Amino acid sequence: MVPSERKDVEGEIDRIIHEPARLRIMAQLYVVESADLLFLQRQTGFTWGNLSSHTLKLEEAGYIEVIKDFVGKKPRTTLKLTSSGRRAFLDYQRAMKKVLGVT
Amino acid sequence: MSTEKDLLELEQNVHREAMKDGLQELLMALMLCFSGVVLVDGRFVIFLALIIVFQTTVIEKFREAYTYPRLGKFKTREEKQQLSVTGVLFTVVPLVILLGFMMIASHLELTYLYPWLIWAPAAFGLVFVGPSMYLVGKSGLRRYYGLAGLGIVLGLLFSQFAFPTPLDRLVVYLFSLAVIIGVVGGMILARFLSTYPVLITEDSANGAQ
Repeated sequence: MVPSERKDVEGEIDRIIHEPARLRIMAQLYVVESADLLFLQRQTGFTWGNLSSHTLKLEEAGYIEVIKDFVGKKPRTTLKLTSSGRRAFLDYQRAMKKVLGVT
Repeated sequence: MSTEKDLLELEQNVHREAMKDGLQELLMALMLCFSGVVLVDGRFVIFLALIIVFQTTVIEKFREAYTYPRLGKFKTREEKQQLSVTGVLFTVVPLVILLGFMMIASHLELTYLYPWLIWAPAAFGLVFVGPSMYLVGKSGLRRYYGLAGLGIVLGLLFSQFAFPTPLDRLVVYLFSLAVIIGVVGGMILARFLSTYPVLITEDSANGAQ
């Protein structure tokens, strides 16, 4: 996805992050180094399918890195914000403050 | 969700999750216990070193088996950072100086220092103020002030009792503190294991097929 496609008409609000569920996921990942889907599911209260579809969108945007590994015979999916994801989240914060007139 | 206040609350919640299994308390109790053992016989310092070296591996193994299946796996951002200079200056350095001073004064029988060394347990308790404030700041839970409170009150209490040497006083103090913190840690762990069931996720269900 081209970066400009993610922004709204005024070019400030990142629509990928602006969606409430994805904003919740991004915020949760912003405060940790990494987290697996189980942790995110517990923290956000989202269903497995909902969480998977939103994390897929964030992965496609290059905002999160998805690491799949096995613990014994069980697969585990770990997510972490990429540096561009972290930067995009901070930009989103700044943009929202500007829109809302918060200093 | 994206304001600093919201993010601080989220971060504090993550730290509360990280302390839910009581392992930090149990590890602290073990360290205090072996610090006491080292004061009795310096040769046991190897065990203290082993705990420090292998603590991360052992805790991780335990968490993989019991904690992560219940809470999910996550790493706080601090786990990636080095030990802060401030943390070392205010906690590790005073502890090493205090313990070293106690060992030298006792082994060389510098009796003229003994009246001052009566207060060593209370001084040891004061060192807990730093870690306590750190834990309160990180988790938002004021109950961690209790750690410093316990250390200081117990230290003052032990200063009132007569012991053959100041070293004996500090050793008994360390063991007592270790027992109390260990019991609290054990209770937190037992409560954690009974309160939080192992969660079956679609991730793990798919892997079992």
